[in-house]
Amino acid sequence: MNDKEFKLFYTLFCIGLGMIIFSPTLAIVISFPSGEKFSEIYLMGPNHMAGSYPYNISPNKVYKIYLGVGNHVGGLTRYRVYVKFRNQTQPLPNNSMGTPSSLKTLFEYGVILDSDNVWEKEVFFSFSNASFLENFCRISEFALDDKVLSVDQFISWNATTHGFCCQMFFELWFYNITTSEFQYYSRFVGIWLNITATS
Amino acid sequence: MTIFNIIVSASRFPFYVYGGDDASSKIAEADNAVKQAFVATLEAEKAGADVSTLVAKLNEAEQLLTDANFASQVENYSGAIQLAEQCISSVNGVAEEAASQKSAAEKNHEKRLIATVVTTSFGLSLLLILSMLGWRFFKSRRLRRVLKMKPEVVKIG
Repeated sequence: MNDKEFKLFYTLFCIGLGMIIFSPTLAIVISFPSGEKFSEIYLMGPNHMAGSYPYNISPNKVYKIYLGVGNHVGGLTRYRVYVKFRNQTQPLPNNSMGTPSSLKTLFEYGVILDSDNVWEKEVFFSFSNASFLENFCRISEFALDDKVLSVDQFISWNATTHGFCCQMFFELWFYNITTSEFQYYSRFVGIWLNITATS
Repeated sequence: MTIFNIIVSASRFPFYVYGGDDASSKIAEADNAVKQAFVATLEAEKAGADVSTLVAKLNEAEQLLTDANFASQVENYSGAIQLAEQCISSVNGVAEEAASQKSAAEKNHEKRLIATVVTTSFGLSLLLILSMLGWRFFKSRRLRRVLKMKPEVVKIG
């Protein structure tokens, strides 16, 4: 190793050592980019698996699903989950436009989650006061957990699925501190239900 | 006469029937209290405070608020008011606690930053001095080695 090479090696060695000594201060001052930030909403069946969701629903019988919300946005977030119910002709939320469904909210869940935390809840639901006409089914009451909600929904017969199909869906909203309002997060989950007359 | 007495005695007890407007304003008040507590907690969390106990209190308040909303939706206005009041009292003091946790976290961060900067400055100064001394040591050792070398006569061509 000649003089020039040795000088270069020595300088680089000292700079490297200096960087190691300086790194704790750098870590406090500079915030390094973290991974992808997102929130999630999910539904699981009664066996706590992504399957075996209740489909054929008999009036007055109680069904169970799991509803979950996950916070991966890197900070404390206030969420609302709005429960809505629709027949096949009524609108769903438009995720590409970021607009929620215009249907009435039947029930809401509120939760505040710290970063990388998940909130999960058993949701029990049932339908009562269901009347069946020739091509229509009318549901008057929908019970969610221990709360009875008035829905008064007409569901027409679906020839393709051979049933009175309707959808219960859950919209995820978050509290926007800039606007001081809840804002639709462009995420929803739902399950299709076929209302049957007998158990 | 007996009926008259009953009417007169019943009229002595004041009673009030809550309406939808009363419930709405109480719910709005509760919502505002939760909002303020949430924003304060969020700021404390950003400052690096451990806000887990505050989050538990906020979730309790949030549950009461959604229950109050539901009670109002099914026109149980007195129930809605009661739940909204419970929500307000459950969130009472959260914003203040969050603010004190925020200032404690900020002070802690400041202390840590100063300690790190001082340690780093000391380390860098030490490195600078040692590297200069080291350079002088290596240079003199190399010079001594060069001076100890004997010239060698080599025949060219």
